[in-house]
Amino acid sequence: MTVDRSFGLAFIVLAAGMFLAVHGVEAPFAGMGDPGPKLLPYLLAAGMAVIGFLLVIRPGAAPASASADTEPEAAGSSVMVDPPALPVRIALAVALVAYVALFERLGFTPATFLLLAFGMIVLGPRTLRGALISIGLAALLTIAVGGFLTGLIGIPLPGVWML
Amino acid sequence: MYQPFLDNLLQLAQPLTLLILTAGLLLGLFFGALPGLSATMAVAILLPITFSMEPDMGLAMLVATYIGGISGGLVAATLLRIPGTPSSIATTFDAYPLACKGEATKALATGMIASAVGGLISLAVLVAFAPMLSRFAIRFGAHEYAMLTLAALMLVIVLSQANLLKGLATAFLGLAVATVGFAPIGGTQRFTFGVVDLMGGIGIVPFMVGLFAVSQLIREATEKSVRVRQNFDIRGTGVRLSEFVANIGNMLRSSAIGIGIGVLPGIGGAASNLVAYGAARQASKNPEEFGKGAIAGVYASESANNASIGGALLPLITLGIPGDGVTAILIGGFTIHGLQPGPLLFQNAPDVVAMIYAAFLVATLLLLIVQLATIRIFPRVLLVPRHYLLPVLAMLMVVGTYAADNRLFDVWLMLGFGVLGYLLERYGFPLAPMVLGFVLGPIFETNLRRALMYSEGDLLPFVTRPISGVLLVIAVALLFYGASSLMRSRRAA
Repeated sequence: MTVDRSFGLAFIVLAAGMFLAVHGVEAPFAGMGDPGPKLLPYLLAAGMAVIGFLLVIRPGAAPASASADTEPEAAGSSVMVDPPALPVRIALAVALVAYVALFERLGFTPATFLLLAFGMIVLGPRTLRGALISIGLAALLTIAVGGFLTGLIGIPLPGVWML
Repeated sequence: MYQPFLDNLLQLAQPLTLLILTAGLLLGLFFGALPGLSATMAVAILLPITFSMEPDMGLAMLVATYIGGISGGLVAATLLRIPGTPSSIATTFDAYPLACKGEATKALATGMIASAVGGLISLAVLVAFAPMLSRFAIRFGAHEYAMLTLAALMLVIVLSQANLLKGLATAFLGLAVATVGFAPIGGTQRFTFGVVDLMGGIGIVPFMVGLFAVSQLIREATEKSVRVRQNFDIRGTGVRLSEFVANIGNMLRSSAIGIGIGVLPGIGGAASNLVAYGAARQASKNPEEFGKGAIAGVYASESANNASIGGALLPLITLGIPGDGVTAILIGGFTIHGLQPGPLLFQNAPDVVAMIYAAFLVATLLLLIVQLATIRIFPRVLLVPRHYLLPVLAMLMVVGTYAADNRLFDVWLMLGFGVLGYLLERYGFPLAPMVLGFVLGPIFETNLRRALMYSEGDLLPFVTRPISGVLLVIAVALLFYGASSLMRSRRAA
C-alpha cells in the first residue's frame, strides 16, 4: 500500500470519527437561518471522506520528501551530516518527553539543566572535556534564560532559581 | 497633517527619543524572534511603562515595538526554520532553503529590505488613504468576510507546492483542528471529549511551533542533511540590485495584499504572508523554484507581513477598531493617555496621529539600519555545533510554547503537531494550507453563520452582494484552475 493510500484511509477514519463525535453534540436551538455549530464539522467530515477516498483510489506519484526539496545542491564546500545513531535518537526523544513531563514538577531550572546537559553530552563528543563544557554551558544557559524570562520580563515560569 | 508629521519627525530625531524608540524596537525584535513570545506580549509588557511618558512618545514607542515584533520572526525563520511569529511562516519556505545553500546573509538581507519596503508602502497608504480605506473596510460584512476567507484558502491550496488534493487535505485538516473547543457562536462544545484543556480550543503557538519547528527538529535528528559552508566573505549583503528591481512588482502586490488583509479586523499578518506568497508563486515565471530558495518568495512574505502593520493601524486610528491582537492592546495605550481612537482623533489630537505616522517611518528605517548593521552576526548561529544547538532549540520551543499561555497541555500538543507536521511534509503534503485553514477557520465559520442569520438562511446574498460575489467568483475560478492543473498533470504523468 502506498503512503498516499495510508493517508487516504486515515482521512476516512478521521472523517468518520468527526461525523460520529459531532453527531452526538447537543446544540442549543439556533437562531433563524443559523445552520448551527454542527454544519462546519459535517462539511469538513464529508470533505475529508471524499479527499481520503480520492487518495485511496488515485494515489499520487511516489512520495516526495519535502526535506529533499529544501536540501541544497551538494557543492564543493558542503558536508554530509549523518543523523545521530538510533539509540541516541531514542534517548533524545525520551529526554524531551521527560523534560515536558517534569517541567512543572521539578521546575524550570533543574528540568532545563538536565535536558540541556544530557542532550549536549549525548550528541557531542564523548570525552571528559566535552562533558564538562556541556555541563557548564547547560548551567549558564539555564540561568540566563530563566533569569531573563522570569526575572527581567516577568514571564511566570515554574521553579526558576534566581541567583 | 504633513506639517505636524514633519515636526514629529524632527522630535523623533532627538537622541533620547531615538534611544527610547530603539529600545522598543529591540524588545519587539527579541519577542518576535522567539516562538511563543509575540509582538502582542511585547506591547503588553511595555504598555504600563509608557504610562509615565508623554502620550505621543508612549504611543511612538509602542508602534516601534509592534514593528519590531512583526519583523523579529525573520531571523529565526531564515536560520532555523522556526517562525517566531505566524507572520513569518511563509518566510521559512524559501529563506531557510537559501540559508541551507550557504546564502543566509543574502536571505536575511532580502527579508530585511522587503520588510522595510512593505512597511514604507503601507505607511504611505496609511497617510494618504486612511479615511477612504477604512470606509471601504467597514463595507465588509459577514458575507464578504466568509467569501474572502474562502478565496484566500483556495488561493493557497491551489498554489501549494503539492497537488490540489494534498493541499485540500491539509487545509481541511487545519480547518478541523480549528473546530476543537467552544463553537464561535453559542459556545457549544465540539471535539473536547470532556478534556478541560481542549475547551478553550487549540492555540496558534503550539500549532505553529509544532508544525514547523518541532518537525524540523525531528528532521535534523533523523535524516541525513547537507551542511554548506556559509559564505561570510561576500561583499555587502549579497542582495543584487537586479533582483530587487525584478521584485518591485512582487513587493507592490504583496504589500497591497498585506494592507488589504491587515485592514480587515481579525485576519492580520498570519494570513497575509501566506496569501502573498501564494500570489507571488502564481505570478512567477518559475513557480517550481518556490520552496527551494526562490528569492521572490522571501520578498513576497516579508513585504506582506510588514505591510499588514500599516493595514492593521488603519481601522484603529480612523475607526477605533483593532485589526489584530496588538492593535487591541494599543487601544489600551490610547485610553490610558485619555485619547479615544476613531474619527475624532484626527480633529482632537492630530499631533498624536502625526506622531504615530512619524514613529512608523522612523522605526521602519531604524529597524533596517539595526538589522543590516548586525546581519553578519546572526548567520553565525549556523556555525554553532549541532550538539549544542539542538538541545537549546528544543528547550526554547518548550519554554516558548509554555510561556504563551502557561499551559503544559499546549506543550504536549506542540509535540504532537510536530510529529504530524514531519509526516505530512515527508510525504508531500503542504503545510501552508493547513496553517491558513487553522487561522481562517473560525473567521469563516463565524461569518458564514452570521451571514446566514442576517439573510435568514438565504444563500443568494453571497452572490448578489457585489464584493461577496466577486470574491466567490475568485474562489470558484481558483478551484477550477486547480482542478484543471491537477488533471493536466495526471494526464502528463
